[in-house]
Amino acid sequence: MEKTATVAPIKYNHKRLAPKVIAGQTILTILITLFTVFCFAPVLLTFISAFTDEMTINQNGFSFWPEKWSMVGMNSVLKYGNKLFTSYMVTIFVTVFGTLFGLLVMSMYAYSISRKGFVLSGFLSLFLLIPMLFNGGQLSGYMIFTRYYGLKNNLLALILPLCMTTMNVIILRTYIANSIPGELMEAAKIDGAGDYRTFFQITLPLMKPSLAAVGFMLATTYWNDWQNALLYISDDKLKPLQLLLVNIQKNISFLLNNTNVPASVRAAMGGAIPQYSATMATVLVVIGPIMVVYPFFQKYFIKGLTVGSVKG
Amino acid sequence: MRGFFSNIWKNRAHVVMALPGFLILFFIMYVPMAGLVMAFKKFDYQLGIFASPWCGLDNFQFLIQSWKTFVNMTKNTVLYYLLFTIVGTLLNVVLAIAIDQMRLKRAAKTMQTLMIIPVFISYAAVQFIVYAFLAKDTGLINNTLGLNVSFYSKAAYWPWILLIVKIWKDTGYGSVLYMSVLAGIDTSLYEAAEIDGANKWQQIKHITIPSLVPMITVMLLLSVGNVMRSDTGLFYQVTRNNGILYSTTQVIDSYVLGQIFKSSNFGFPAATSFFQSVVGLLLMLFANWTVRKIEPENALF
Repeated sequence: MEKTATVAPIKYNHKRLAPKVIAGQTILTILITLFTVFCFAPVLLTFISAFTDEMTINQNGFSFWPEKWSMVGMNSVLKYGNKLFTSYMVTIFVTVFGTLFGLLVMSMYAYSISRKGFVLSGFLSLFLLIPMLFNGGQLSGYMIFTRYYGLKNNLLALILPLCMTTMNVIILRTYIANSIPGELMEAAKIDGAGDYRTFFQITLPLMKPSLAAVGFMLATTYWNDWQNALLYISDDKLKPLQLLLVNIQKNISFLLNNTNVPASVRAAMGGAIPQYSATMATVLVVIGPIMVVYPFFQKYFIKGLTVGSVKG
Repeated sequence: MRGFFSNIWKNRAHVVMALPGFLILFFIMYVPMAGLVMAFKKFDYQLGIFASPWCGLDNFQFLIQSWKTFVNMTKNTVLYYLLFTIVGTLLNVVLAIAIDQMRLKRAAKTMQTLMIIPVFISYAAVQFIVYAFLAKDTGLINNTLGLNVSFYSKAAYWPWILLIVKIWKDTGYGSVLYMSVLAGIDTSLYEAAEIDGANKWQQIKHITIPSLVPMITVMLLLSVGNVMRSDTGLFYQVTRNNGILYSTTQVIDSYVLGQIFKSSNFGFPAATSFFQSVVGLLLMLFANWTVRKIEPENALF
């Protein structure tokens, strides 16, 4: 061990690399690049298809190198106009409100159970853990939500089920316990700050990395939630973006499975008659915002998750 | 007793702060647990779950009547869980180590950013992308390879298709967790090993992998409680809930979801849900108990 202490740390960049290392690195880089292509190509195909001419898709199929480009798909999505706008607003509202509400509720809960000398913290931890082991499932949840809480066609049905998860509270609690010095909170108390003030002015601001990480994951969960929307929302004015996608697919199946649909019905379905490029353009419009926002959060995201999960 | 109440009074701010979370857990998670009694009721929507009359084990008779459907979806649920968990964990770990070993750190970071993107695409959107690849006439695969395979009507293809979609969607993100552990390994360990003459493989085998084991255990343990639950979107959306494919694609969750919309007889779905929840609980308790016997440090509770 003493020997290692005297050896300067190995700096790869300043040393000529052995041929074996170069070969290994080359193979490694090629493999990882291939996997990256595998992951990104489908996303790229979505982009390209959204701007491909409809006739080209019909004749030659989907392609990374379409013969003819076109803005028609994108334009017909924008023609949805009001419907799309409403869905965007619903999704944005649910995502923003749900995420902020969820973060507040979860971080307060995490803070409470992390307090030493609070007799209820053991009970509250157990109360948090049990839903991870046992839960009522979709059917029972659906009946309770609609029959007893009356949440059919109510945006709360999209917000409440996702706002608090055991795993996220554990991540936040781990962060409070490991990364925020207890002395800071004690000092605040000695200086006369009450419990609420300590939490909101000392603890919460220091939790920023894990709040960003958990918040971003929570936001994508809200943005991508199609299942609760499918179960609880039927009113056009409350339909989120994902439900639009699900409905487009339903229309496609309907047309495919019923070859004898009268022309009048087809006409009544109007803009919803599925066209490949328009469908892909819709997909793009739905997934686009997350892809734009994601790189800004990535650094927190990896850091915040790191700290939280190591302790499980 | 006096001490208990005075402690609560002293910590009243903490009680207040925990209260919203407590209420949400109670109404969103705990009340539906009680709703599982639906499995033993002759359910009438007008009366609600709790006021509907009891019917003993009648609902479980449906389960025997539809034994084939029940066995098929249970089998699918469990097999997909095993397939996804084994392949997924392996790939997550391999990818994390591979990225960690890359010396072009900038390039590795950029590629990682691209790899994580699929996890943010909802299954409602994924199914259109999958369709672009697999469609019979316009699909990319048929066109590129000059084939004419009808993927959406042959069940045998779907375990592979779903596995590929799952790997595509979750591997990039799944590896992040393991990478964070790798970042925490003391580099002097590697330096010492190198001086002692250990090659890369030996370093990975004796330093990297052992340090990942606790994380792997925790992740596996957390997943055991979900053996009976599935990524519903994958099975309901990506397969387009296509009846022809049920023999290899129907899982308990997608079945129950489908039944909610048919809303005719809830007896069988209720019995199935009950079975799903109880088996999940038992498996979780068993797994935790086993881990505690072997390596108490890694147990969850």
